[in-house]
Amino acid sequence: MFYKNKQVSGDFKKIRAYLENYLQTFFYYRPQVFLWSVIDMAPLVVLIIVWQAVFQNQDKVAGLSFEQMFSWYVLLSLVRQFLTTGSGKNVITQEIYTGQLSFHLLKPFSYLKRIFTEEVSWRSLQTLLFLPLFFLFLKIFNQSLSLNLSFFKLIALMLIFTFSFLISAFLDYLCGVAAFWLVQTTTLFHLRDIFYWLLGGLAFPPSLLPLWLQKINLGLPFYYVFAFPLQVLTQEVTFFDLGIRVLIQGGWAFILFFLYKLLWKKGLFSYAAWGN
Amino acid sequence: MQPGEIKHHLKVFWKLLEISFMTKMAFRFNFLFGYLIDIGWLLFTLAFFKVFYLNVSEIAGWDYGEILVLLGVYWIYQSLIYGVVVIHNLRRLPLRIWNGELDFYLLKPLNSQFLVSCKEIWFPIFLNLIPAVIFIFQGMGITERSFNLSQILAFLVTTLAGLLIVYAIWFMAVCVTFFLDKVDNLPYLPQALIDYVTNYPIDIFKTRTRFILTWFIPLAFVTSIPARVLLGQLNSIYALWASLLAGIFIFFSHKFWRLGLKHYTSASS
Repeated sequence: MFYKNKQVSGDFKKIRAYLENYLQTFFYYRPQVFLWSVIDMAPLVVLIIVWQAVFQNQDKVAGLSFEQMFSWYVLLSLVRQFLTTGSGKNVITQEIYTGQLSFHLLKPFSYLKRIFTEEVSWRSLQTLLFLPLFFLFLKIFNQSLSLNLSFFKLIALMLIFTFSFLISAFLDYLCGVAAFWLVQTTTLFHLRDIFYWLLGGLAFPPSLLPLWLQKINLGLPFYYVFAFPLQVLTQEVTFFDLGIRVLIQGGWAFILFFLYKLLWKKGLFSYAAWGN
Repeated sequence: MQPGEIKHHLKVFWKLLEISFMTKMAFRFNFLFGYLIDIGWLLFTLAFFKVFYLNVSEIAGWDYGEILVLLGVYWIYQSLIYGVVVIHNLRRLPLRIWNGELDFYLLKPLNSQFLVSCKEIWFPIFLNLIPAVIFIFQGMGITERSFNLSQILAFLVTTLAGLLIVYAIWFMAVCVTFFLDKVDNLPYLPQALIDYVTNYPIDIFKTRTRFILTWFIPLAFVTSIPARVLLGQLNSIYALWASLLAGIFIFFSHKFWRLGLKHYTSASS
């Protein structure tokens, strides 16, 4: 018991040290961090303009008003800042290819925890730097946000965002560890992005999809990263639906975590590096 | 440039094409996977508009058939600009400036802007020219429009001019690197802006923005205007305007490159 407590407090210290270190490094690169926010936001701004043009001729599309559509993209631009993960491509894959992974494996600190601390520091800084841009965005369009919130939903959202982040992270890391076996993992990341755009709510709210696809989508992980939290934030969701979807979301987070653990373990057996 | 120099550069371009093809074919799986990515995004844009038109009848006056024509022109732009200048060249230019690799480009007896823009060519994306042409024909079929020879000629001229314009805008945006501290994601900014503006009809923008995007940052000439010329909604005079604007933008891109080079200090490579 004493040993376990000591280990937890030791881990906590290491996580704190890593977090501080990464935050300092990323803060040095703040122009890049900010530029990524702008780059992420550009397609969403154009999509709002597209919808503005569409709503000139009709009041509702798939049951959504312009205010709801606008809220979807604006909130999406915000949640994307802390829910999109990039370590799978930029860190895991690169470290496996270059052999730098060996250096990290020798450290007395879990590789996954290290990646997580790096991701959390980058995401926190990016969200923080994005906030002024977010308010500027609201000011320019001069449109009110359509939110559908209650105290219960706010509590549920904390859990939903945590699961969303975990799904996003483990999907990303799964593509990353594929580098143990594949020479080219870029295809996997692009494939994931295509699914995010089409089914995950990046291109449009999922209610625009044909009904049969909406049903299939509810069973896939992509929906639970961006679309589900946004639907909870902006639309009426029954208590039953919310409960079921949170359960599926949590299920996906655990499935992807175990899949990652499995592939990581198997991958390490086939990993070879030299001359670091 | 003298006519002789142009001929020489065309010869070099052909050689670069050959070398790029040989290099890419040495890694056939990469070639195949690369093409899968490109076709994946093409299918995504098609699915995106399919879903869109399940719910709406038009976007800023453009029906589904017209959008297909626009999409065809958009994929011509994507295949040629990304394949020749963006993927392996402009995206890597900031890094070449920072690590001093640019020295090797400046020392060659060729136009340096030409060499940094098309040294290595990404072939797989060229295959998307086939579906692009199919989109155009399908769109023309849906709208029940036919085209005559002068429309085709005007379309080809505006498309070619549009490609030169968009290249010049891309190039100038990336050349800003000469004047900035290390911002390695800079090439992705023009990509985000240009791709999403050209993927939709220019008519989605309000009058003032549309005017700016037609005459000052003429992205309208990349997809919307060629598509409308082919659809017979605009007359051939736009081919002349497009050529004029292309000339101006290429001239300024070259001037901007020269200005950037004056700020280049190398990195003791």
